[in-house]
Amino acid sequence: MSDLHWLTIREAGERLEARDASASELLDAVLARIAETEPHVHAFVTVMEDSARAEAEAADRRAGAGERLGPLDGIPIGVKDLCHTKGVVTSAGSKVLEGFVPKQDAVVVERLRTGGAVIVGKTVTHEFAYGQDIPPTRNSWDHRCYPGGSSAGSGVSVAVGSAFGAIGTDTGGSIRVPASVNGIVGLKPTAGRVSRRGVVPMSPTLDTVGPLARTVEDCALILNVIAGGDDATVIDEPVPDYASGLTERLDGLRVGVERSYFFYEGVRDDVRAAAEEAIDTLGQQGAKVVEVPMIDHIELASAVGITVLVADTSEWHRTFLREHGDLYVQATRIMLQLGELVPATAYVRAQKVRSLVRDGLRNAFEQHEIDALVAPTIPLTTMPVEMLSVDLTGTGETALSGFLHHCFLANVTGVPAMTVPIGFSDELLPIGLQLYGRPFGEAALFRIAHAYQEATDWHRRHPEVGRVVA
Amino acid sequence: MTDGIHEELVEAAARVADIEIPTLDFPLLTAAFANQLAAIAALDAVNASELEPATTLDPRWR
Repeated sequence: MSDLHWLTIREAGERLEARDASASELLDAVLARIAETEPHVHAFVTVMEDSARAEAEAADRRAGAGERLGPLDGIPIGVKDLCHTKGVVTSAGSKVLEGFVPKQDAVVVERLRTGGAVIVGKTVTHEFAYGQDIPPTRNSWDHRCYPGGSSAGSGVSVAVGSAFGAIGTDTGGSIRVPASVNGIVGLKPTAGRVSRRGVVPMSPTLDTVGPLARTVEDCALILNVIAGGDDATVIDEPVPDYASGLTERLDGLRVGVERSYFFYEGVRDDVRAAAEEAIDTLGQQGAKVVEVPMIDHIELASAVGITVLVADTSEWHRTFLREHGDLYVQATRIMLQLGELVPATAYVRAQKVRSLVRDGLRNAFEQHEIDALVAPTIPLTTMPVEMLSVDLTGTGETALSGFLHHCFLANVTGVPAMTVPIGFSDELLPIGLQLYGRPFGEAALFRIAHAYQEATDWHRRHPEVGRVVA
Repeated sequence: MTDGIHEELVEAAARVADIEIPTLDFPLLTAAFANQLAAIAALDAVNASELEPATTLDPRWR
């Protein structure tokens, strides 16, 4: 088997440009990798081999004519099964949508195709992205372990080399968590940066669509293609070239660290140590590291987020729940029932308090003049699936409530947030650092995270297929 | 606020919402509802009288 599947998108693009490799060869490498890894990790719900071959051949014809469409032309990309794909089943991980074949692509898929990307397949999601069931997908670094979610297949496929990049969705950490626990990069863009049209929704104000890739630069290349648009889910802001201006130095940038909330006692010691070391590295790269005191109202982010989330999600499922309630996984169904019972006044209250949380975050950025706020992506590493608690129906700390504690703030306030791999636990499970940015401040996050990757090699390490830690 | 949340109360609320709850869902839904009300109680502790909701109406015709 060739090693083409481990090239970055940038490297693969350069090979295609120089005619040192073809899109068909890249696809062959990825399909071979899928055949090798899928029995262990189950990242794909559908592999679109025939259409991908046709797209790769078209990319090769363009390359031959000197007419490549851009850096994604001929690059195999996976798409979360929440995104509509014309003529290909989109089931959102649920029996409720079993056999549903969209007549149109989601805008994000359409934009990928316009950029020449080869859509290699649909990646596994938790049922309707709710994170309440455990899909068959397994972690790329230890096949006993949770793959993260809800963009589970997107995170795992990129980590094992069965896609060069992938599209995920993030309503409370669903891009960042699978990216972090699989040792790759994931970006939840600013709300309104990427179109949500044609993506099965949870909450219109919390949902975002974004890229996962093995390097920061590759995420930037994908965002360049999928950002912007003219439908009602997109905010009209200029789209810069996110992949330009990436350097190894961070002079002039200020990075904030808040320790009361993001480094609370629930954060594992090895996660804490890796985050501190990564922050030191950012300082060595020239960033000014600034201590930020407890951010006003940050502790209310999860309560706001969950109240908005359950009501919004249940509204979309209203008819399905009444007509096909028995087709849902029980835990998902219960969350949908719950959303029906939330008082309307509580929903409005949550939207009001949400503005306080947003103001608290904005004030922290403005008072301390920071370009990013950094923290562990999640308080834990991943864990064997039988030890995982994703239940949101009880009180007290669960793995999922810990994920939401660190991630929900970005969805509640709409700001961008990225995770970048920063090391491994004693069990050799990946650890991530999260970078929160200003609204539409993705360029600063790319710059900071890229400089970190220039100074480290965590992103060059790849999981071993079939690995299970005893 | 979450004290006294029991299955009969959840059943009544579900009737008002016009949803049919399978019997096996009641224990978990009741726990989830109590947990959600605790989250709402945290929000109720904030003085929100002067706050505008984060989502607002844009009256422009497009």
